[in-house]
Amino acid sequence: MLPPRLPLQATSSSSNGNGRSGMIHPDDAIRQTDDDASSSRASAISLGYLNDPFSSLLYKPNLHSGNGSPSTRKPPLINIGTHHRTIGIDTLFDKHLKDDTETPKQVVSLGAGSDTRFWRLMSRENPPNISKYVEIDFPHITSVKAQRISRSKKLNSLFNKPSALNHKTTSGLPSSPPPYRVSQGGTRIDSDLYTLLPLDLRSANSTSSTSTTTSTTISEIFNQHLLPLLNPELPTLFLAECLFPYMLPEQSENIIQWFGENFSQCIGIVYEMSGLNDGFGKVMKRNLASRNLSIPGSEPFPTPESQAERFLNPNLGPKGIFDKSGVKTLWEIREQVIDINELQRISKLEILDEIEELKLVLEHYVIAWGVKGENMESLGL
Amino acid sequence: MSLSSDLDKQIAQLKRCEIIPESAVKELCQKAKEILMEEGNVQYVDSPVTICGDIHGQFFDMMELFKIGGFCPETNYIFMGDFVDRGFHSVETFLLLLLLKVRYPDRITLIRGNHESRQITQVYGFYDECQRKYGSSNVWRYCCDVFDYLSLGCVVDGRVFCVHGGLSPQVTRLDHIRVIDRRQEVPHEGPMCDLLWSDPDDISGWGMSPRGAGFLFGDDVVRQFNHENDIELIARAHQLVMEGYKLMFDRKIVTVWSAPNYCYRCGNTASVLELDENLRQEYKVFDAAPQDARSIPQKRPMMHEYFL
Repeated sequence: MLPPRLPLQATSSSSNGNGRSGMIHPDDAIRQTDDDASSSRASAISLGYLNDPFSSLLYKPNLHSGNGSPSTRKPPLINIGTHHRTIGIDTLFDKHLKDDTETPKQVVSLGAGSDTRFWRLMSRENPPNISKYVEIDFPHITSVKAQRISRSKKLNSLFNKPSALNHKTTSGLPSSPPPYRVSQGGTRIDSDLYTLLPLDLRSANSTSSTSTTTSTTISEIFNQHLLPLLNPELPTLFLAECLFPYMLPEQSENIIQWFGENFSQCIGIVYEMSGLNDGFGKVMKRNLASRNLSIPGSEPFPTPESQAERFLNPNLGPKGIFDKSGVKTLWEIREQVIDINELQRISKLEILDEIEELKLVLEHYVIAWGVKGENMESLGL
Repeated sequence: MSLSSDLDKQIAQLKRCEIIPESAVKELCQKAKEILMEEGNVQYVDSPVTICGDIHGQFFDMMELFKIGGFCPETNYIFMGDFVDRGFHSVETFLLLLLLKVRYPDRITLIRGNHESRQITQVYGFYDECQRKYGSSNVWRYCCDVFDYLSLGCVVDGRVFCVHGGLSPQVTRLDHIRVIDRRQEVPHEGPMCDLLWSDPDDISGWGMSPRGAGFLFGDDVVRQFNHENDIELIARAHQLVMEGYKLMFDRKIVTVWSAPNYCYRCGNTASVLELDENLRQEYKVFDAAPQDARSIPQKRPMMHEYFL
């Protein structure tokens, strides 16, 4: 059942003629950020901040960082922030997926990394009415994820619609064809419900007037690879969780515009750092630079409000622009969104020694959202 | 070899940020306990003296502090606790301060912060750092034993009260501190806990602390305490302030913060408070030491962390 493990070069130069070059982006530093997020998540889960039975199936901690010390445990501030980030985004998802109509919903997660949200949603007692859930990331990341999904019955069984029967033989081999397909050198997974799509969005041209033969625009990439998977008539959510900072501002604008233009009912969610013109921000840029990370996509957004305004930017055009947008910092999410009982519960998990530092850090991360179309205007935090 | 030349050698070594052997730490901690045992819960200190807030293992930043404040014993110092945790060099920071204490007992006063605790240091890094640097928890245990002997506060010329956190509803007079049995792990409640955990806030009276320990206390509490005890200023640490220090309540209380670019992440400045022989206050502000390869160890623990 396992897909053949191909060398990275072959994996990247996918053979389906998708028009993109087989170049490997030397962006290991960015890929490493998925490890940051996932290891923080693993720490928060192990300490009881979050409940996620799927995280350990999709993420294996990097063991070389340790020397006997508990390398999986993160500082309380990171655990708390990870909790707030997750609750904040989950809350917006739940509002989008709320079953108040018969209409199924769609989700596109950009730069999904080893995110577990799809499995957390679909393993609920009453899973939401989702017709399609697409996760997009670098081929190098999707290849690992695809492999782990293939290996885990607990993961790939959720590709079945909840009503479907689950046949098994005693040998453990499926008696019928698996409910999903692995392709593109083991980097892609397709099922009716779920698609794991390997794309390198950073290689896209940011302007529509392509002069070179190899590069294509975000819009062309999405039209070719993403649009066929989705129904433009259905309410669609897209999530960019710590993705845009690493892209050029024009590229992220193109992404928002593409979703706005193609889906009449849409909610976009952006989670990332913001307000980096102060001392904290300068230090962050310097510290990230020491890890070979630069965040050019953060420059045009010096305030939380500017993150909300990105959905209302006239550059998005009459079809691409959103109707309404909003933003909250993680600190505001702590103060205004998260249930007081939940805050009290997690306050007992670890001793939080300082509030000032927590506030300073949480104020520099935002969840921004934009909505457009019928029945979408009430979505927000 | 005489004792003081022995100590001078170790001080020179620590100033280079090199640790001393475990056996030397054990001996040092024993001597420190003998000295600290003689000190009161509220120690008397004479001016002039330079008052410092949280250091949190930021060894090279503490060297910056000594550069702008003068080295001990040329300058008298009060360190208001939180020597350890968070930074990369809690071991070196605390051992250097302890060596200075043993070498010049009348020139430096160390008071206890909420991080000088067995429980907190197991969460915030000092325990792990001792394990990493010495291969066992022995050094951590020796240091924690010393923590139990640290004073809970001090008073400069009878007029400036120094404490790590703040006031306690159970402490209206300094005498109430003097009767505490301080030789114990920091309790979860009560006056000793409050002194190490509380924060001033724009409220009246007492409030619940969001930290889950200690209290918030308002202008009126400070006014009453200072009046009752003939104190003109409370100097405390415990809270990050981006500008390095923050005077509150009509200059009756000040927060002094001495860890620049706290956790190598916050981008704040730091300060020390110099009191001259007339108790005139001068705040000296300083920034973090240049980040060279030496100040960030290769095997770095939980630092530079962001939500990426």
